Amino acid sequence: MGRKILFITTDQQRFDTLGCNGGIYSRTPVIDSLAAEGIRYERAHPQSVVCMPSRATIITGQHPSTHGVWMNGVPMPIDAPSVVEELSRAGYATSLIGKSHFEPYVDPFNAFPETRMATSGTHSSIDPWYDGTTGPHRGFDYLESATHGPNGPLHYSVWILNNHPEALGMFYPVLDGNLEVNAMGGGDTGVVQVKNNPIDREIYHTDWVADRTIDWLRQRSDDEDWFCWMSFPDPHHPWDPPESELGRVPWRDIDLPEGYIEDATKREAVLASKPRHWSEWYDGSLVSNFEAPLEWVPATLTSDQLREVTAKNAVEIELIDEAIGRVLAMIETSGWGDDVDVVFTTDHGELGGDFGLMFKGPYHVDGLMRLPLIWRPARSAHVEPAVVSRPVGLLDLAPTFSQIAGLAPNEWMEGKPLPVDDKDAQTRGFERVLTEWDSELFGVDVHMRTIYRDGLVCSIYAPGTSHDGSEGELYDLQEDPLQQVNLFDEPGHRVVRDELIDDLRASQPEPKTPRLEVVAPV
Amino acid sequence: MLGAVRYQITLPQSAETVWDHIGDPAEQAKWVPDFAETVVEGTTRTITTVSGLTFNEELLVVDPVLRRIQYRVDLPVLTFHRGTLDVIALDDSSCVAVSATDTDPRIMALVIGAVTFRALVELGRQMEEMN
Repeated sequence: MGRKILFITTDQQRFDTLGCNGGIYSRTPVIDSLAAEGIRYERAHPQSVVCMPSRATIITGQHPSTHGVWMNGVPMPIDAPSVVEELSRAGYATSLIGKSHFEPYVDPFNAFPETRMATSGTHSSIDPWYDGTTGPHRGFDYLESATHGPNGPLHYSVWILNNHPEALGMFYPVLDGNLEVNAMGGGDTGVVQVKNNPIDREIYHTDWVADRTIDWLRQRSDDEDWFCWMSFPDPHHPWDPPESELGRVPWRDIDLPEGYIEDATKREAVLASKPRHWSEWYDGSLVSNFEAPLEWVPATLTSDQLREVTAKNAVEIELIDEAIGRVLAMIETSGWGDDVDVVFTTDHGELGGDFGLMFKGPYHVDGLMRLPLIWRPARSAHVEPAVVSRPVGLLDLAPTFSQIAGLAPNEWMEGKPLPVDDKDAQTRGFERVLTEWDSELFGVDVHMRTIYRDGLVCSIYAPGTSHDGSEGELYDLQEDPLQQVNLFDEPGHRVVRDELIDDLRASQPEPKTPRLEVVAPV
Repeated sequence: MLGAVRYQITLPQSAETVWDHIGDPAEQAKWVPDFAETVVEGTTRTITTVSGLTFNEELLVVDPVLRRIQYRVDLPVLTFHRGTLDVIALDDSSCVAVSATDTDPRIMALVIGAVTFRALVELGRQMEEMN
């Protein structure tokens, strides 16, 4: 019998939303205790700041350029490598419960296995695997899917439809009638992507994911090895947690986020020091990517609206923490506690009011790039608690899972097993982490590459709609943790900037060819 | 807001051969994987998808000389739609098939265009088999 793995992800969660990372809005005692007992990473970055490319990185251990899912709406190839497939071959029972999103969710023609599964009457793929055999999908032999409400033909949606049809209209409609990300205002302040949701907590998707996870775990025998990916759709927008829970974090009583610059003149000056697409989005003249509401202008965001979003986000995180606590309690009760590795992270961050912006896009700053990552190794492995300050990436998860299972990481993985402390990180060369962005949609394109190294973040842009290829960003996180001073064109930083750019260019993976096509908005 | 997407595939057959394979609007189900059935009456094409949807299209252009089919999907969600399929000769033994989808609202261009993309992929597979 080997070590079992509980892999927990959230969607679009900032580093600073956990108590163990200095968060002030949510109480997260369960996750904090995992951090205290395990390894807490202070500089974990995604390789893309949107869902589909980032989730493809998690399962392949590859950069987006390599796996080819270069933006949302690009389906992950059915024959892409998968660490979960390796675990399955090694005898692990494997499951994914919650948000998968390896394939597009806007799929009215049911073209993709993930969106067909819920209506097929089976929890596994009904389609032949890419090599003609039948069996698990991407290595998962059990998959129940959910997203941000009862949207699309996913398992949670079907469950709500069949069991609680009265709840269908309670959620915020993520997309509007034109299938754009909805700009409708709601809640107490009329803020975008917020709704006071009268749904019972017990049937909200956070508790549903935990319930379904517990149900799957109950079917495991004591001597069975398993890998369970419990994937919460929250705290991704819309921010519509159960109304009964809003009293946990009264929005009127909270301080504004540190990264929000209240003075509009100062805020706009900071934005103007960054490449042009920052200000263009802020003032509503250019929405470069589908993930931001087309009809929402960030400059209209008020302080109270941001307070309400921040509070509702915090409520969603508290519900996740409690749901994780229920699953961990079940694991302890089952007597497996000493043999289960628990890994907690998210796919990317959230701007959360930084610079007056929300949601996500081609903006490689800490709000989107600095992620919560905690690894509580199985107690039977006797790994000492630690805090790792050196950079790691989500591409290091796949080789970590292989290592936990006693498998050698595959040659197609570009990451390395996560370090257990800073000394280990130094010895094994954790020096830099890369993040990339490419988007091309309806005549607007943005292309950027970013490196984090030695406490510095440097981004460069290729020519696109708003850029001529000479633009860039450079931030010294020690001196400027909120990334409000762009040093890219400062003469005193030119040498270090050029070194970082050389490193960034030399570290780029070979792009997959031919390039995969975008076939959906998301 | 209008949006446009375009997909294309280069095929190792003459434009005539490819047009003979795909130029009949009533026979599209044999190379469009999302379609279960297509029935043409006059200039109206009724499509039943594999997922169970049924909708009508108006055939605007079927031009075997230009090797072009243009059509308009009739759905309430669409303020505007124009689909175009072209087969363009590169030389005597190869051609490129191009599908273009223009819609209002713009996101529907991706949703409908994805059907044409999957069709081009399947067309490529079928042409490969014919070779």
